[in-house]
Amino acid sequence: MLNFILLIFIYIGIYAIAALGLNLIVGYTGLLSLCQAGFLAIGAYTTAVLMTTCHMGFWESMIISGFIASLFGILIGIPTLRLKGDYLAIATLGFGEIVRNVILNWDSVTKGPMGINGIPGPSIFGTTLSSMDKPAWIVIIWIFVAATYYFIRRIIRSRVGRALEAIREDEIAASSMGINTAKYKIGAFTTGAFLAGIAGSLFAAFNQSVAPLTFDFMMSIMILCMAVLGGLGNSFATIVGAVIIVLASELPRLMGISHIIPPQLNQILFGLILVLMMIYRPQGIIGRIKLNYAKIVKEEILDLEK
Amino acid sequence: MNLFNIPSNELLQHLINGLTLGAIYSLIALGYTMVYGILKFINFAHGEILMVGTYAGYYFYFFLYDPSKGAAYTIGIFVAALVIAMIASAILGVLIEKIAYKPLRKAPRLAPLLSAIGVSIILANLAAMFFGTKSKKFEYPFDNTSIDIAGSSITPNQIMILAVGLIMMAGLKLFVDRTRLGKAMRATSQNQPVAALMGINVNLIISLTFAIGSALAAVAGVLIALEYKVYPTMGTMAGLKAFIAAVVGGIGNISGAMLGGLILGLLETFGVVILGIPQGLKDTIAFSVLILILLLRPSGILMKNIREKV
Amino acid sequence: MPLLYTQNLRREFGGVIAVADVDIEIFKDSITGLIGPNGAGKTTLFNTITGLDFPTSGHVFFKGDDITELPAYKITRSGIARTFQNIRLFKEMTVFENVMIGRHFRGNNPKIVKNRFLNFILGRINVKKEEKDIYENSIKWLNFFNLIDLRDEYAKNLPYGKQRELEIARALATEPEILFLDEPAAGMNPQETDRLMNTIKRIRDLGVTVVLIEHDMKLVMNICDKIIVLNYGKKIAEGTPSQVQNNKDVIEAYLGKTDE
Repeated sequence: MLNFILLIFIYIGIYAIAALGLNLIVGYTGLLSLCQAGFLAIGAYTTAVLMTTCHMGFWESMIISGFIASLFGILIGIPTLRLKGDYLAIATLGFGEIVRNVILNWDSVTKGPMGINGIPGPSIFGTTLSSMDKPAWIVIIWIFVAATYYFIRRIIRSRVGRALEAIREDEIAASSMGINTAKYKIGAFTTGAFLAGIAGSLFAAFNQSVAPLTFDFMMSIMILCMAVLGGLGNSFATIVGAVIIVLASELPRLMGISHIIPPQLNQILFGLILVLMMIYRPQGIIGRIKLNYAKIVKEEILDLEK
Repeated sequence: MNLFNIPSNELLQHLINGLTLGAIYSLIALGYTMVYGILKFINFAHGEILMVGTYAGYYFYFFLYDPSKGAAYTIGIFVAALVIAMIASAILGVLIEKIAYKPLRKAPRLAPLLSAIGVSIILANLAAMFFGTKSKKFEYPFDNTSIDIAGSSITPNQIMILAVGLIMMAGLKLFVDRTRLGKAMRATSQNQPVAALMGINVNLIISLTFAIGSALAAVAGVLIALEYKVYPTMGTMAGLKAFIAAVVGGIGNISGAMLGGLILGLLETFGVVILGIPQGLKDTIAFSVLILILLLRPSGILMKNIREKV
Repeated sequence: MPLLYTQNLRREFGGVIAVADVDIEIFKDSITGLIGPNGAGKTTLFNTITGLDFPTSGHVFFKGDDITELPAYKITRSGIARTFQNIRLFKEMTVFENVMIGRHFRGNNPKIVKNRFLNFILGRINVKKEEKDIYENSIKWLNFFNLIDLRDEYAKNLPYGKQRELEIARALATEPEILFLDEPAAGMNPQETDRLMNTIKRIRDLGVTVVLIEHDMKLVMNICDKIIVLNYGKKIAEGTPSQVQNNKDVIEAYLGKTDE
């Protein structure tokens, strides 16, 4: 039982990292992306291939995974130069499907539908972790969650965050204020993809295996639900959203009633969350936090010099 | 003529297959395009509306299907099943609009899209719960032995798909261009507030749009089901592809949806034979086409490029 | 040489010619009025100059450089700012933040910010210097427009006239050499319009060249050094206010053809 709860919090952490990245794209910049699972898949597979075929260590694989995912983030970010709203969403959905298709069919590298097994655990302080070492994993993963949270907080509270907010408010006005909107949008996409790549890498190393069917459209939706449920444009709320969504989907197993609850109920729940939240509480449970940038500058920078 | 060293009879064969596939895409694409024309949003649940209608038709047909009663009876219940599928989809489409989209008409653009994604997930999973995930065979109402023409073959079902597709599309075009209601629809899509001021019942027109689009999708659903069976996620990929077709033709444009469907159907069929793209990557063709067209000509083939008004 | 000029600038939408081979010249430190009946192509002309729309043919030159193909943000960075006919403020951001965004790309004036992404994360000292500059400069513009007491209000909560002023403040924060105002007096009452006239003159006195689209003839005739008249996308007249007022084509464009 305790083991299972630990497992749940490991998954919450992994998804929270990806959801925080998505929140940067959707919540702060206002671009709807439906391919976060695609970036996770890229991260997970990069780690899997590097660690099994190339016998690389986990930590360097993870960093490479993050960068490869962000490279694809740039690739999919480029259409955002021209697309908005619904079109962008569908283009990202298409991209996610392409990733999955390629992984399924590129047998020589990804082993196709079978996936990659036998990924070695990461070594830390001279010991090699396996999926069994859950307490250690929890610590590692939640350190990453904290780091991600801090990283995004730094972005958001800086001039970059201010520009992202302006772009979300009115892109045309932002561009006529001299803001290179394309650069910022691609930047948001790339950063979000990087974080998903890291999350994917952790996912692969923790499970010690990857399979293509894991990273489907529903996973993208689940991550999106986390950001929407907590409140778009609020990192803390996103983590709360991740906790609620993962707990809710594991609740039947947690209560030992998974055999009488149809598996589809879970996904119906995600669907209901999207519809009901949009109609009754579009700002999410906690809601967006509006930063006052003038105050931030005043407090953090002006007073500092005195 | 001998393109890419493919024998001409094979070329014709691929052309037939591509056009049939394209006709299906076109039928579904019409629903996306009509809704987009009026509400400026993608009805993400369109594919699932198709699926539910198809199930309705399937169960009706399944319970009454009795080969011993003769060909006329079978054809009769098939036509009735088609009509029932259309009605079921139409009602569902209208209901979904009223429940999940209407409260969001004035919300930011992300809201209705997310709501639509939610509806689509709910429907697909409810179907899996109630109808089971196993696919069900929709028996042909006629002998589907293929007919030879000029060295290639065409099945009666393919003929039916082409014929039904053509009739439906022509009918819709006539309806939109020639009737009063069609004119009201066009007016509503041009400018909703002004249309309302002119005495057009905008809510009624929106419901009608959903009803027609959903009914056409149900027709496509039944036609696909004959070939590929009925299952809960049957609408998802077909819906996505059809959406791509609508974008290719120019979303919001009815002729564009028809053209886009045919183009996509042909591209998919010929992409596999000419470019040698493996069957497993067939879906990638459509998505690549989507991303390319969005980059090169985001307003589609038949639409003028429109910039946001400043 | 004029500060900014266009050469045969043309913009067609489908078959409609919104701007028909227009040549205009804007001289430094002047206030130029752009007038014409509704649909004459004034806003389209503004959009093609400021990079929010691209001309079908023709060129725009600014300080001798061809800026026709530059994207909007580069045009702004080169020293051209604008406001919008239907006010486009960042509604959910504060008055102060709106002006800060205007100054976004200028760190230590007049250099354009070259800070890399990591510097923002690490909060390096030059980032802080730039933020300080942005902050102080924004205060300067808030004071110029008497908006300092409203600094923490959301832009959407300001009265209409104040919103127009804030939009001008935001545009000026980009430190432009030339400022395009699209109907700045629209929706203002006479007192506000009078104050606006005064403000525009003060802006000119700062060394900013002003071009404005306006329907308020009192304002245009009072403060403009030169007036350009557009009708059906064509330039039909230009000159001093009195020259334009007595121009037969202009009177016809506004009042319709009169029988003689």
